[in-house]
Amino acid sequence: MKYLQMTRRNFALRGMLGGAAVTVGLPLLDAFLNDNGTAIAASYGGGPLPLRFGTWFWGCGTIPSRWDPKTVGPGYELPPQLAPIAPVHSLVSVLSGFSVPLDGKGNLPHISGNTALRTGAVADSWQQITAPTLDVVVAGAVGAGAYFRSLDLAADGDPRTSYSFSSASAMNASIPSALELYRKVFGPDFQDPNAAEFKPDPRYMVRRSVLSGVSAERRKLMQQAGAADRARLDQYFDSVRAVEQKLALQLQKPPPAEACAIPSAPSRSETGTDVDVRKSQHKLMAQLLSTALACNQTRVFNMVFSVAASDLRRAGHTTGHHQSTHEELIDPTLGYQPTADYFSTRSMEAWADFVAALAAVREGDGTLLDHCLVLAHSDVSYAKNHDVNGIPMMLAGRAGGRIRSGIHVRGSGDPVTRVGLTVLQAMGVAVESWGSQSLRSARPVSEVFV
Amino acid sequence: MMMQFKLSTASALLLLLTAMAGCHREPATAAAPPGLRRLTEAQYRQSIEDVFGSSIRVVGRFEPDLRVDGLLAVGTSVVSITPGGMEQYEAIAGDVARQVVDSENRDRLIGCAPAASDPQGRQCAAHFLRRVGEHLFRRPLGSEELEQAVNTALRASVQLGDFHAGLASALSGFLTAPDFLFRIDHVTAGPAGAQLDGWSKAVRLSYLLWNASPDEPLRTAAQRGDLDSTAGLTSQVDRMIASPRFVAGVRAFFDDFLQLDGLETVTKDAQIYPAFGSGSAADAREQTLRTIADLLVVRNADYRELFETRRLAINRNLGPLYDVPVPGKGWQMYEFPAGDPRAGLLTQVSFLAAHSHPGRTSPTLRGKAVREILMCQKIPTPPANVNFRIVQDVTNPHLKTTRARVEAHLSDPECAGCHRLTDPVGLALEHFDGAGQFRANENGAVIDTHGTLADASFDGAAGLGTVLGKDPAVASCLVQSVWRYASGHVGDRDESAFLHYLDERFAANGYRIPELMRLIATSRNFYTVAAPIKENRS
Amino acid sequence: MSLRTACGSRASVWVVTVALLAALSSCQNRHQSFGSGAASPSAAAVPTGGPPRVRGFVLSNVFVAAPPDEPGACPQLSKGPLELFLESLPAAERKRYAEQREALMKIMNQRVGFRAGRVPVDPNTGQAGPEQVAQTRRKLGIPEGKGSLSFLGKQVTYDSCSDPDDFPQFDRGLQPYLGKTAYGADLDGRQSAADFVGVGGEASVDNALWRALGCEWAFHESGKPEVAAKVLFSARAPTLVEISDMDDVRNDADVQVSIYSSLTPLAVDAAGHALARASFDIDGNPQLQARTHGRIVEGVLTTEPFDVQINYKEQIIDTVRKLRATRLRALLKEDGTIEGGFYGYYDVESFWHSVQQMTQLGASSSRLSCPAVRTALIQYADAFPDPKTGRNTAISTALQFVGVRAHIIHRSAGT
Repeated sequence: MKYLQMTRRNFALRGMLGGAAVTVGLPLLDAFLNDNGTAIAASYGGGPLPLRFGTWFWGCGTIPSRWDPKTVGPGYELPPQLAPIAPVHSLVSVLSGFSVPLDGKGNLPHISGNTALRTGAVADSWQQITAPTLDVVVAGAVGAGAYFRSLDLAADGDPRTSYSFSSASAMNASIPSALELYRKVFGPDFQDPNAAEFKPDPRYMVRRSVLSGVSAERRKLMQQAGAADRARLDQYFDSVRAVEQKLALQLQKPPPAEACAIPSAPSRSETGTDVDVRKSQHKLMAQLLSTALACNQTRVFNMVFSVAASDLRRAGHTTGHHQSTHEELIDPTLGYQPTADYFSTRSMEAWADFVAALAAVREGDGTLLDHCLVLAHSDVSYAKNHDVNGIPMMLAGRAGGRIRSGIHVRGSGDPVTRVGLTVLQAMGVAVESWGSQSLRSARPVSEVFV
Repeated sequence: MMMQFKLSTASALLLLLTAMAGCHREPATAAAPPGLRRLTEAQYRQSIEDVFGSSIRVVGRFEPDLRVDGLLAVGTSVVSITPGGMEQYEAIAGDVARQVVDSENRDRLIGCAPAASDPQGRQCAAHFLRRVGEHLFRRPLGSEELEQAVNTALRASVQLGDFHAGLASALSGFLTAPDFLFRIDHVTAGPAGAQLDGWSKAVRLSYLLWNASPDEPLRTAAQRGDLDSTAGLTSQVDRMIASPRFVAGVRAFFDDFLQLDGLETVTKDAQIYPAFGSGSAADAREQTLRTIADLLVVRNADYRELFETRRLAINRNLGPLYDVPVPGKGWQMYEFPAGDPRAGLLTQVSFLAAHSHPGRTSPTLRGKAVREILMCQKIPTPPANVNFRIVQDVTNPHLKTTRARVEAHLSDPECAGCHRLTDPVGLALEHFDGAGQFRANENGAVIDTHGTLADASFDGAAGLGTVLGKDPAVASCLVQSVWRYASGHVGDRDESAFLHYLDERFAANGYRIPELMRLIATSRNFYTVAAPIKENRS
Repeated sequence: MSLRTACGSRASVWVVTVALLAALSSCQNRHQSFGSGAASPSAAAVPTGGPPRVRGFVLSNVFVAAPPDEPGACPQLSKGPLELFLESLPAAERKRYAEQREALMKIMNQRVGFRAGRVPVDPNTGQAGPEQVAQTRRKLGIPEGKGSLSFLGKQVTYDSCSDPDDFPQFDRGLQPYLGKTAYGADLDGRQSAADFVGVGGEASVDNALWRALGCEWAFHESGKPEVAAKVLFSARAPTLVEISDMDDVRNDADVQVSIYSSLTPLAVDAAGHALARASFDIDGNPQLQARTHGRIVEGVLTTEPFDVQINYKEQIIDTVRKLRATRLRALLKEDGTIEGGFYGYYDVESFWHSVQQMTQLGASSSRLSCPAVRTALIQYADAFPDPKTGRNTAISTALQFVGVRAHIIHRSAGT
């Protein structure tokens, strides 16, 4: 799969033809070039619709005997914990049986599985990961050109709930509520892509030039700094540049987005550990996110429904999800832990809500979901013993027609990085392999490619 | 050579010995590279207040601070700023700047405007930006730096058609500059090699003692070179410790050390603990900080008393959790009578509620917190494949007390290795439920609060408090934490000789926090710096 | 001379001693004074759980309780002003307005002559002062000596509640309660025809108020304990009950019982119930304080009869309940709550005042006709005859309550 490579010159031409000429006396063109000088695919305004990538996370896995489908291929049957996804069955692919080989390292509860799945290597803590998480890699490839490089969301109200890291010490903090999401995306900086008039606001020019002034400090500071600090300063200046680019975008009329319908602000809503409250906040955020995507505000997103050591609870019960997975007896008649089963099933309901929210937006010939690829996963399969074999994963969306949905693929113990590799390639990141040591894989899951 | 005493009294000998003990040479630590420490959210807000006063609101979401080796202060030496974080800073900066130049504030905060003698406002801009820049950057602006800022302001005022808007833009630039967002050490060549310049020393000192940027007298002292002499430095240290602002500095340390920011995400089950409302966690945090300020600063008590003190700050919101009459509205000190179950930090809601589950206690979490936070000991992570069959006693599913429930932690050899470090400590606190409320019994059964900690036995929270006070690990953990908080050093450096010295002095001075802070603030090691290591960039 | 040189020196003994002494003074820890120097005083040493021998409660709900439904007790529930007015209309109008409550109210006000108006706020004080009230009265054309302030002083009204005698056409539609059972106690030691059997089987229960108002729709419905316990919440100025001199909470032959009014509002906890173990300041007004003796038998507290006034500040009502020769009887439950009642004589004018404050607007939503209620009150009053007129000034009743543990602050230290 190739995407359109544009030279600087013909991009400029397209820029003029595609929208009103903008004369602000600043060299805008470099705002749309990444560091290698190759232009970002300007794939809207008459061209193919942009592809979006996202992750969706829930904690404490499943009860595998009740989640892993028994049949493979399209039309796979839905076991009890997957029953909630029935309304979106054909839109979701299930990837079971992909595992994390530990290479003799300890299995850190609620850490090893997740770090391996997202970064391609097992780490002892998130602060010790050796590579950025795959959503950051994808954002690097396709994220620029939209106002937000990514939108990181947490339904639990805590900005520290995030599994998106650029590096070990750089976690991308989450937007922790629907209200904040609304304000961030549809607040004062929002440019309606379908507005008839566009007048570039000189304040963005000024803000941008102020930041360029900050960037100009770079050399002086770097000279003084030691090696370790240079890396940190590098990161800081890269971040400044990222914001400069964002502000530059504001100076150009955004291409129209027919699917964009500006929502009204949500009223103040609750966040909490009660599973019903969590689901309700999550649904609100999913709907806002869908609108944000339809309005081309970002191409990459992350949603955490519950943290790895799931904090979900039911009011009046002393024991929540996480504790139940460890302490609850297996019911002799049922053959599984009823409370743990309950929470996993409710988590799947939330996943169904998320998929439905994306599928509800009509876009182009199909839906927003058709132009997305979402990777849903947990940190473990059977949480009782933090099992990192057969970590449950799902894909939703067809990535603009590149991906097949509604099938079940069994990994048979293959490393989870096969799936990571698959999504990276699907999103146009030029990689042939991904991951390190036993997690290194060069074999994507070809069954999901069209 | 033999010393010939002319003083015949034994007291002279005693004086001699005491003086010598007190005058041990401070062991040198290997100098660390110059610091680059990101401001925490609290420090950012304090800076805005220091420079512009409390009427300027800081609204927005900050990049979360990172806890490294148990301290956010150490994390400041590790983190940088992500693009998402930078977006936030840029937005907050713009908002602050707008408020500063607002018609309500500009007279007070800027104090000049374009006039006939200064039609573009260049002089006014220069005057304002120089003053504010020095305060924000915590060092004087270079002339080129100032010139650039002024030009930014004037250019922007042309583009925006408004002088004040232009000035706000330049101010916004200051607030997004690395010199503001990070505490950057500046190294000069001194007689003994690389040394910190006066301003950098002032910054280290001011953030240690006040958690704030240097105030005017300190800036003046820095400018004059006073901080390079012992007398000059000591004079500033004395002044700052005597100031009411020292309380803020001690509070900031304990807020970090005790990991009280965890209370921001504590929730309790509303049915099980209805008295723990939405404001309870924040009040509990404030309670502990006020109690510490009263005990360890105002009354200058022995640090170890923190684990036994029956005197604590309280307000009416917290009254129901403690089940005592609270006479006044607002914050007040409350003294529990001798023999009351409430005694010491470990019986405060901030500790009990933070290290429990939303609907019940957790002796393991509480014990782990005591070990890791108060004793600087590391508890290994639990194994992934714990055999829970043991914990689930199928013959008696109705275990009445928590001790009974977690019995298997201690009787099974697989689990006991780690759990014997945590559970006996946490079980001493079982008279306090998951919200920190006292309970005489649990499900009708008697609560047994006996335990041991390193061969010392105790019963209950008060007993545990006494035992903790006597354990040398507690004092030395505090000392090393204050040092690492002050220096921001990541834990890979061997500073044991210096820490040992600080331990001894801490003990000799009655385990008093202000004295410990003074000792560090006047130590050589606090201000040493190595020349930065350069590498060729390819 | 620097510290280090003095310590490392090998000079003569005297120099060393002097230097050491000098160094000692600089090494010695300085005791600094921080802030004001004096530690702030702390509250008196009261243990966890509050002072021993004392147990305080705050009454979250105080209400006229309705007994369980009895067939035939109320052949017809009450009619309010709207219903009565509708009945009085000619057939055609009756049909037209039957379903249009708003329009009906409007023409009723017009035709009957009810008036109501908001009192503007004095721009200087932010309150509605006497000048503003007089102005509003004039504007509304309220006759001198008529009308009253309502809605917590924010409105002036002239209607069948403020002046029931002016609107005799509404003195209808309220039937007495015919049932056999009601809450209450035997107050007069006699069995008479009007007496009830108590809800717990007690004999000769005196509750003339229930005879009078048991079929009044609002009392009938919201008096049901399960409803009242949720809906009739006394937040603004709740009543406090303090048991002191108590040696045993289950059995004690003699305890002191004090009733106070709280200046501190009652808060709701995270589960939506009354917050227990909070602290309350006492209203210093002696009229709102009362003391008596009592005893506890198997957890049931019973007091001697006493006179007491308790606040009744809920929603738009702002008055007191004046009770005479009243006993308190309540169960001190294992879960720490209190449940029981005041059994005694409710001063008629005091009760009437609380009804009056509903105004015709409130009365209409409660199907309550003020004139009818007033007439019933006077008719059924059964105690404390006025020496001059001979008319009874109080009416036997039972006020049920529930409450939770509270800390009652006798002296407010402030901050």
